Amino acid sequence: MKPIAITLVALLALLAMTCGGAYIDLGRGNLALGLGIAAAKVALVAWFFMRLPASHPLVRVSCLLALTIVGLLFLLSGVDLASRQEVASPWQQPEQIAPLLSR
Amino acid sequence: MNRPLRTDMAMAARPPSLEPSTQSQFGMWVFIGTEALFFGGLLLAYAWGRASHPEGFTAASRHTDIVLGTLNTAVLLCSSALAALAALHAREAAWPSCRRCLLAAAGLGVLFLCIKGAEYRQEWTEGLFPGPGFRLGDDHTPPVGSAMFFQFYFTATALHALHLMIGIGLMVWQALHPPPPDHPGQAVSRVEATTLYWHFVDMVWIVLYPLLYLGGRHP
Repeated sequence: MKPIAITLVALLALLAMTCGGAYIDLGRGNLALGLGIAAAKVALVAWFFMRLPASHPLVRVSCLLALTIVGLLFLLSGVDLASRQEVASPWQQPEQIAPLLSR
Repeated sequence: MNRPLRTDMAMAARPPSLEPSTQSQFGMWVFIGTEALFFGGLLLAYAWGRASHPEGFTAASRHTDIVLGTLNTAVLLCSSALAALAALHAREAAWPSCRRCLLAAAGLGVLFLCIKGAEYRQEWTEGLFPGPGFRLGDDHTPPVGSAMFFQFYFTATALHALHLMIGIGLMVWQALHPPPPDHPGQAVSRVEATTLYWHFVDMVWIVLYPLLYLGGRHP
């Protein structure tokens, strides 16, 4: 029970840090800080709540495989998007009838 | 003389069997892997949008409610801790405590949905829902990309809420069905698999929180 309580306190402290950090101007560092702290929180949940280190090797391999495939998705799509020239066109509001609730 | 040898070979050829609790955990992790890819595609769309229209995304994310967003994150983190506690009690065969933790975690899930609903209502009245009447505060010609941000916001949060509703249903179902006396191990596997799903839904929110609420907050 104690590790769960300590993990929760750490998670809430990280939440306070990430929220406070957003109000400090770090330029591009703000996004990096937000995502870095999110990664730390995800790791804490996986490690202590989902007990990944204590689980069967097959389970750990499937987790690693999922992460690798998501990484590949970002890497290959990132290369494609970065190397493609975007043709500028003005943003057009979609034409549709106003939703009934807003009338 | 050959007979034991053949038996040995047959034994060696058979794949190693997993314990039932490992089987259910493995199954749930494979499912979580597919779900990670599902949300991964959404996050990739966000990354592309933000890289293409940084101004619009920053201006738009300033209009989400950071107080309610942070509160909801805390609610979900606490519910995850309760789910972890429920799995611990299940392993110790302390079923009444396990049931209480499952119900409390599901209750926090419902609280999350209520807060999210209040947030949606506020955003709807502020004209933040993408469409003909879309505006950012008094700005009726918001920067390019801000409507795209709110398209992502509503898609991602609604899909997350749908996953959470399924999670709440599973947690309540586990709490209301006592373990069969002859197979208590089965109930442990079920509770463990359900709480794994709950933690995953929590993880998705942890990643969405900085992307949706923290952009452009500094002066």
